[in-house]
Amino acid sequence: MSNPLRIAVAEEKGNVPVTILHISGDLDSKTYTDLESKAGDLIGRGANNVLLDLGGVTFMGSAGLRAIHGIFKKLSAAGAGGKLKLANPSDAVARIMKTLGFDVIFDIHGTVDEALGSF
Amino acid sequence: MANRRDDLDLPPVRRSLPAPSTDEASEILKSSSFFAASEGAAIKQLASLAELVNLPSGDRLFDKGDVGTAMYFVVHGRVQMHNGEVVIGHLGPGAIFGEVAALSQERRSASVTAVSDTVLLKLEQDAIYATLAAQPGAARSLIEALCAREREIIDEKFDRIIETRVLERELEIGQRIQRNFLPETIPVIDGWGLDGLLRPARKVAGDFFDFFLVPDVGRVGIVIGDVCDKGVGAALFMSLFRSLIRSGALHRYAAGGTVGVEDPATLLRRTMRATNQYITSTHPGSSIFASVFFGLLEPRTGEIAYVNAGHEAPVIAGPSGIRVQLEATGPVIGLIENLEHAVGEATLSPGELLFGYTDGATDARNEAGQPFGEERLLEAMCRGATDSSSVLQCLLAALDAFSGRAEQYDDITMICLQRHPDRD
Repeated sequence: MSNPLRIAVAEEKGNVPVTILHISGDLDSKTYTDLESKAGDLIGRGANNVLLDLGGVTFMGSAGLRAIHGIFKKLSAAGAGGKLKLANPSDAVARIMKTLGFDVIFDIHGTVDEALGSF
Repeated sequence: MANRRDDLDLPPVRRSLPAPSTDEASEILKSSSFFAASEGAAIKQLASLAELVNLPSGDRLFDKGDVGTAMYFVVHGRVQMHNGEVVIGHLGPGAIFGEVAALSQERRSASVTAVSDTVLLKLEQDAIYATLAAQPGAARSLIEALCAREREIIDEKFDRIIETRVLERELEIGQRIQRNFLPETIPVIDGWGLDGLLRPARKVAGDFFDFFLVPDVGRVGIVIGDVCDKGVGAALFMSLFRSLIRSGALHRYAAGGTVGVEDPATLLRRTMRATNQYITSTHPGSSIFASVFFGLLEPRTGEIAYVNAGHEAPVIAGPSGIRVQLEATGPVIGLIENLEHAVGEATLSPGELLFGYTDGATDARNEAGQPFGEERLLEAMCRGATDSSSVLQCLLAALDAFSGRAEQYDDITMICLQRHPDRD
C-alpha cells in the first residue's frame, strides 16, 4: 500500500543556518502539496537555506519533483539569496531525478552531512 | 457533548445561563417552525423544560459522531456546522439544529462550533417526548416541521446531483476535445506499423502522444510526453505542450526557423527550444513541466533522430530482446529557461521495434500496492512483440492482469513503431 508522507523539521547551525526537512513516505500527486505548503510555511517564517532529506522517500512521482521546483521558486521569490539542496535519495529516487534532468537543475548530495557542508 | 448543569463547576468554556422565563422561552419556540402550530399548552410545557446555553465564540458544542440527546434553537449569535475543517453551513437566530439526534438514537451528523458569542435554547429529548405524549397537537406540528426539513434536504440533494451532472458533462466535453489533441488517424507508412494508446486515470489526462508527417524533412514525427500532475490542470497544459511541439515542427517560421533547408537535428532542437521558451516565459509561476520524447523517423532507412527531454527512455528491441535505450538528452521542459537539448540518433533494423511509455505504466500498482515496474513492463513488451501483432494491446492486458481491481493511479500511455521484417 502507499506509505503516508511524513515531514520532520530540524534546524542546523553549520556554516549558515539550514532548515532540514526529513521526508519519508510516498511523494506523489496526492501528497506533493503537503510538502510544498509545509516548506512554504517555513520559508514564510524566515527559513532561507533549505535542505530536503529524501532518505525516507519510498516513491517519487513527477508530482514530487513539481513540489521541489515549487519550493525552489518560493525561495527565489523570497529574494533573500537562499539555497535549496537535496540529499540522500534512494537509488530509485536518484534515477528518476536523473531521468528528468533534475540533477542538472538542482544541487543533489549523497548524504545530509555532505549537503550541509556545501551551504 | 451536550451541556449539563453540573458543568457549571468546571472551568469556563460553556455555561448554562439562568433558566429563561417561561414566557421568554415560549416566544423563542413559537418563532420556530417546529412548534409554531402547537397549542399554547404544549409550548408552555416545552418552555418550562428548556434551558439557555451560552456558547462563547470559538467553542465547540458537540463533535460529529457524539451521542446527543438535545436539540437547539439559536437565540442570538452564529454557529457553524462542520466536518473537521470542512464547513457545511452557518446558522443564525431562529435556526434549529440537532433535532435528528434529539428525536432518535442517531449520533451527531456534524460538529457545531460558535463563530460568534452565541446563546442557544436547549430542549432535551425527555422534555420533548414528555410534551408530545401529553399534547398530541404538538406532535403534528413537529412531524410537519420534520417533513418540511426533509423536503429541503431532498431538494438540496437533487440540486447537488444536477450540479454534479453538469460538471461531469463539462468534463466529458473536455475529454472529447482532448481526444482531438491525440492523432485522429495514425499515418500509414509503407513497411512500418505505428500504434499508440492513452488511458487516462481520470476523465482527462496529462499524457500525450502524437504521430505526424513532417514534409520539410521527409520524416515522421513521433512524440510521447507526460505533463507532471494529472486531472484538468495537467490536461490544459498537455494540449499546450502538444500543440507547441506540432506547431514548431510543422510551421518552422513561426517557431524561429530560418529560410533554407533544415536538417532533422536542427528542427528538433529549434522545436524544443521554442516550446520550452514559450512555457517558461508565458507561465513562469506554474511549476508545470513535461517530459517529452520527440523523434523524427526516416522510414526508408529506419534512422531516427530524437530529443529526449527527461522522459523514460524508449527502447529499441528485436527478436533477441532490448538492444538499446534512448536515454534522456536533456532535462524536462517548462521549468528553466534557455535549455538546449542534445540530439541523439539511432536506427531501427527490419524486424525491430521502438517502444515508448509514460511512468503511469511502470508505476501502475496492484492490489498489494506494488508497482508494475520497468522490468515487468519491458519483459511483457518483448513477449508481446513475438506473440502478437498488437504489442500495445498485449501490454495493456498484462498491466490489467497485474493491477487487478486496484484503482488506476496515473495516466498510462504507450507508443510502438514496428519496422516490418524484409520481405525477402
